[in-house]
Amino acid sequence: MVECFEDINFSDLSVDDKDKQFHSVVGHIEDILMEDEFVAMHNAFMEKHWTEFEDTEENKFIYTDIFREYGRTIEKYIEEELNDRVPNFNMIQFENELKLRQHDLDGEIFEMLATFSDFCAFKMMFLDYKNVSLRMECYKNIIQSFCLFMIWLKMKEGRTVDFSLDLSVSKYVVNPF
Amino acid sequence: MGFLSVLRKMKQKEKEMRILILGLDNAGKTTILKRFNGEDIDTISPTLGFNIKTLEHRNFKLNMWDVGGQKSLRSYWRNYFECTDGLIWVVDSADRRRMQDCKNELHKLLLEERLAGATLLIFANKQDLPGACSAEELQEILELNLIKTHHWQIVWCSAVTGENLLKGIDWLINDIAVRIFTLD
Ligand SMILES: Nc1nc2c(ncn2[C@@H]2O[C@H](COP(=O)(O)OP(=O)(O)O)[C@@H](O)[C@H]2O)c(=O)[nH]1
Ligand SMILES: [Mg+2]
Repeated sequence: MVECFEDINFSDLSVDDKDKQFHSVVGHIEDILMEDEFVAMHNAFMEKHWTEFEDTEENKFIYTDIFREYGRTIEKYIEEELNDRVPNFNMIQFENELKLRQHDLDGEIFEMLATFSDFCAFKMMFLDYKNVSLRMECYKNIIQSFCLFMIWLKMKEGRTVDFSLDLSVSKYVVNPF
Repeated sequence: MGFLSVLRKMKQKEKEMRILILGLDNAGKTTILKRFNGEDIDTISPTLGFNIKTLEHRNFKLNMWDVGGQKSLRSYWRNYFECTDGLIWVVDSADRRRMQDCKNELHKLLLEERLAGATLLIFANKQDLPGACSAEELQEILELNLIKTHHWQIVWCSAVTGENLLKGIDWLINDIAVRIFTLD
C-alpha cells in the first residue's frame, strides 16, 4: 500500500493535544444529543415500538431485539454525526481514549450515554412513553367525542357548524404535558 | 460491543456481577430467584420470556437474569450470554426422566465461547421432594467430572424451604470475586 495517509497519528500527539481532541469529541456528543434532530430520531424509535411493551415484571424476548436495535441506532447516529463534525474522527480511537480515562468519566453526558445501554432503564423509558401515549390517545378520543357532540347539538339546533372550535380544541390536546 | 456498552461497563460501580440462571423448564429457576430476593413464591407461573433482578448481597450488586427453559425457548438463551460472570444451572433433582436432556443441554452450553470465562454453579434443587437425586448422584449422572473448562461446584438446595441457597450463591460470588476483582 502506498503511504498516502495524512491522518493524524494519535501516538505522535502530546498528552495535551490528545486531551483537547478528546474533550472536543465529548463536546460534540453533547451538542448532538441536545439537537432536535436527535430528539426526533429518538421519538420516531419510541413511536415505532412502544405498543410491544407491557407493564409486567416478566420481559418478552422481543424487548431484547428492540433493545439491541436501539443501541445500534443511537451508536450509528452519533458516529455518523461525529464523522461529519470531527476531522479524521475514529471511533476505535475514541473507545481507547474512553478506556484510558475510566476514572475521570464524570458528568451528565456519560451518565446519559451509559443509560442508553442499560436494559432496565430502557424498559422503564418505554413504559413511561407508553403511559403518556395511552393518555394522549384517551384525551384525543374524549375531545373527539365532545366535538362530535357539539356538532350534533348545533345541527339539531339548525345552526351552521363552526369547525374552528374543533381546531382550537385539538390544539390544546396536542401538548398537554 | 459498541462504544455505548464499553462506556456502560466502565461506569459500573466496581462490584457488579452479571449472573445468568439457566436450566430445563420447571427446574425452579424463577423460584430460586424470587426466594433469594425475598419475594412471594406461591404465584410463579412458567417463564415464557425472561426476568431480571438486581440485588445487593455482601456489598456486591448482582444482576441476575432468569431465562425461560422450555425446549422452544432454549434457542433464545444465546442472546443473554454476553458479559456473564457466573452461570447457575438449576436441576430438578426429582425429575429423573429428563436427566439426559439436562446433561446434554448443560454440556452444550459449556462449549459456548461467550460463556468461557464464567464460573458455574449447579443447584441440585428440590431436595425436599422424596426420591430426589442427591448432589453426588447428580454429579455422576450429569458427568460433571468431565468439565475442565470452568470452575464449577454442585450444591444441593431447596428453593421452597430456602435451604442452602445462600451457600451456593456465596461460593459463586467468591469464585467470581477472586477471578475478576483481585486482578485489578
Ligand atoms: N418441592 C419443591 N418444588 C419446587 C422447588 N423449587 C421450585 N419448585 C416448584 O417447581 C415448579 C417450577 O418452578 P419454577 O421456578 O417456575 O421453575 P423454572 O421453570 O425453572 O423457572 C413450581 O411449581 C415451583 O413451586 C423446590 O425446591 N422444591
Ligand atoms: Mg421460570
